[in-house]
Amino acid sequence: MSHARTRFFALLSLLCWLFGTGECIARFGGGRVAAARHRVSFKLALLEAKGTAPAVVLGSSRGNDCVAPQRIAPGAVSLTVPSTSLATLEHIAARAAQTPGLKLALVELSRRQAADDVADIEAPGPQFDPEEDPVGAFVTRHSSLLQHRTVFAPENWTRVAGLLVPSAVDGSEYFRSRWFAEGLRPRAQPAPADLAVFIAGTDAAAPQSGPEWERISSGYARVVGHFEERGVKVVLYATPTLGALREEECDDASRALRASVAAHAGVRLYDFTCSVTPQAWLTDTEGHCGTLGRVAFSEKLAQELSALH
Amino acid sequence: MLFTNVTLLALVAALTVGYWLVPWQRARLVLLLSASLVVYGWRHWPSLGLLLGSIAFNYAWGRLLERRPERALLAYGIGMNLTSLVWFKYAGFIAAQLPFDVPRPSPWMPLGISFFTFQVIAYLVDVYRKEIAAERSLLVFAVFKSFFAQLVAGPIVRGRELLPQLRERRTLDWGDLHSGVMLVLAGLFLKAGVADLIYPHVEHAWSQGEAVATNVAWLTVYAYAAQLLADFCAYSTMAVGFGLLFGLKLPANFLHPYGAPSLREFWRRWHVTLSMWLRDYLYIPLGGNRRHGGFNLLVTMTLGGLWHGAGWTYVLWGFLHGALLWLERELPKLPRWAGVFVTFHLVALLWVPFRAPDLAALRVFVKRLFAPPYVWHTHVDTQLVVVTVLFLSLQGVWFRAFPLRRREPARWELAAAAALFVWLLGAGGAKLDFIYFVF
Repeated sequence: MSHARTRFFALLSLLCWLFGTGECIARFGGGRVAAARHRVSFKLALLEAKGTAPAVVLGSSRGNDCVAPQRIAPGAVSLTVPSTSLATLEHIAARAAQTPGLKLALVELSRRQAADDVADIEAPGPQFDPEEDPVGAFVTRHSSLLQHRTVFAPENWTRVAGLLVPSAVDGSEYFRSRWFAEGLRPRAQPAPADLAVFIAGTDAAAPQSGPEWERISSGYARVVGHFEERGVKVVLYATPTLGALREEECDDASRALRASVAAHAGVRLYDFTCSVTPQAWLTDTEGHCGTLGRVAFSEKLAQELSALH
Repeated sequence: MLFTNVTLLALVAALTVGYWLVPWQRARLVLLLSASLVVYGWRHWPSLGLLLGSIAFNYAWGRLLERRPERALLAYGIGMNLTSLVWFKYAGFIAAQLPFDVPRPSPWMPLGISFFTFQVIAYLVDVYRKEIAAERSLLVFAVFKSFFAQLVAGPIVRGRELLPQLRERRTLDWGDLHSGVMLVLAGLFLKAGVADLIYPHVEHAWSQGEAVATNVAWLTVYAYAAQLLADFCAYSTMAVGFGLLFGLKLPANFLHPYGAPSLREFWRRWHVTLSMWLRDYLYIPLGGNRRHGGFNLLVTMTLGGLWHGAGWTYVLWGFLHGALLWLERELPKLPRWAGVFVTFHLVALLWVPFRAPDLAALRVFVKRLFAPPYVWHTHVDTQLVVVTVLFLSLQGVWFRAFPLRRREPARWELAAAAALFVWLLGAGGAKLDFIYFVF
């Protein structure tokens, strides 16, 4: 056989082997890794892979960036997901509540987290238009590898690594859009005195009504119910804000709404929405903490929780 | 049909096997022609009418020109081809410029019309100049004009390059087959794994208008430079790869263009077959360097810009390139490293009018690049930065590796093929048409 022919068949064999091996793995044992395709299924698979967790943190990208679970309790896991909704929160709570050894659940209370969107909990597989690409549509229908192939997308690689070595991560590392930006910021620890800027809101619950109130209060009540059924203590938290977001979420009506939701659910609320923090602690006006803000806020939350015990 | 379409890839695989199993050249050409017509007509079968009409007309006109090489006949042949191009591509644009209302033609534009029009104009001119003989076989000419690998977005293959290859019966070369598969894989990677990953960020930045931050606007300039090269080079690489599967050698269209030390050199490396076409059939007939060289450059590049699209932004892009090429002739030569640096940044900036949807959007974007307020947004997507920087940094390595050289050792190939395959799987398949499909 000529050298060129050998090279050609080696290449063809490699491609066939890669496809065949990938197909076998996807078909017979790729369930856990396949969860890396979506932020929600990934976080739940990570929790499952860890086996036990004393505490979990639920919330949106704000909770993700502002709460370092290891500062709350060693072994705590972050189940926060960006672009979330109340329905997604309920889905995560129902699954997370079943975690063995779980004692505490921190749940974000914010307009973003309470959003009235459908539960976005699973990534659809890549689609082929059967008219434009009939062979692609046919092959995808019959191949597990192709259905789950977005696991191999670069943005999911870190998730796959997390699922393969779950002990190395706590779930809060996955704010991929800011790795680069955060890398440019100076590193320094906030002094204990700096934490004084966090002043929890002390608003009293006020009578609320209307379909929006019904939706939010009953949604949070169900979330809390999932945990309390299993004897897990639940605490609600709200992260600090800046600029227009503060104006939107720090008015009387919003503060009263949060206090009322907590009262309705019968749980404690740590509302730091209106705390005036140094601007450098937040990376943007969407309420996302940078490294300094994350350390400071987590420290403050941990102090409050230890006082609670 | 998209090159990244699994149906097309399956069709090509089957066609390759059939092509080499059939011993007769005529039967092979029938296979290639049938497949090419299926690929071309897949999305919009009425376009086939135009393609077949163009094949018939140019075949007959080539024969006629050979017998009677008269300037008027050549002008008529070119005019007929340009008429269909103008009608389908520019009529709407021209109508929009008129101060009075005229009925706008249908917005339907046959895929690749700019490419195959230029291809046949070159053929007619070459026959007229007696540089090649008019093709005797209608079947060979039909495959030359419609071969799916180069029909929609080039390379613009000359008659002297492809016609002799189509006439002769070729024997199976495993080296070509191997290189073909590797190049198709590499092209798929560039499209789905690089260009389409960058695309949403570029689109998002352009859609933000005045709200785009200064640093994001600058990042978008370089991201688009990477996206455009990856996208177009992907198509050309796949075209060369598909050609090799059938033993046909198509010219390379990109030769590390962002490594060029001058604009003049850039145009020898970027979309090479178009640059050569513009040189041979426009710039030299206008007078070339002999008289008014700078002005001829300006006209050639401006028309080249217009060829890319019916819009003032394309005209401006071509004009700016022409003007800078003219200026470059008058300036002293820079050291090589400085030349590469300046040329790359100039070219990247000149892609801004090329990408702009209209002049108003262009003005806004340029303002965000250069005028205050200078807003710095730290929330920059890591994926965009990583893919753009990696691709722009490693393109030199890429162009050294592809097209593959026969004697190159095979040891890195399998690892590279595995990496490309895994990346491609993850990229989920190309989601978009090639950018040059609209030209």
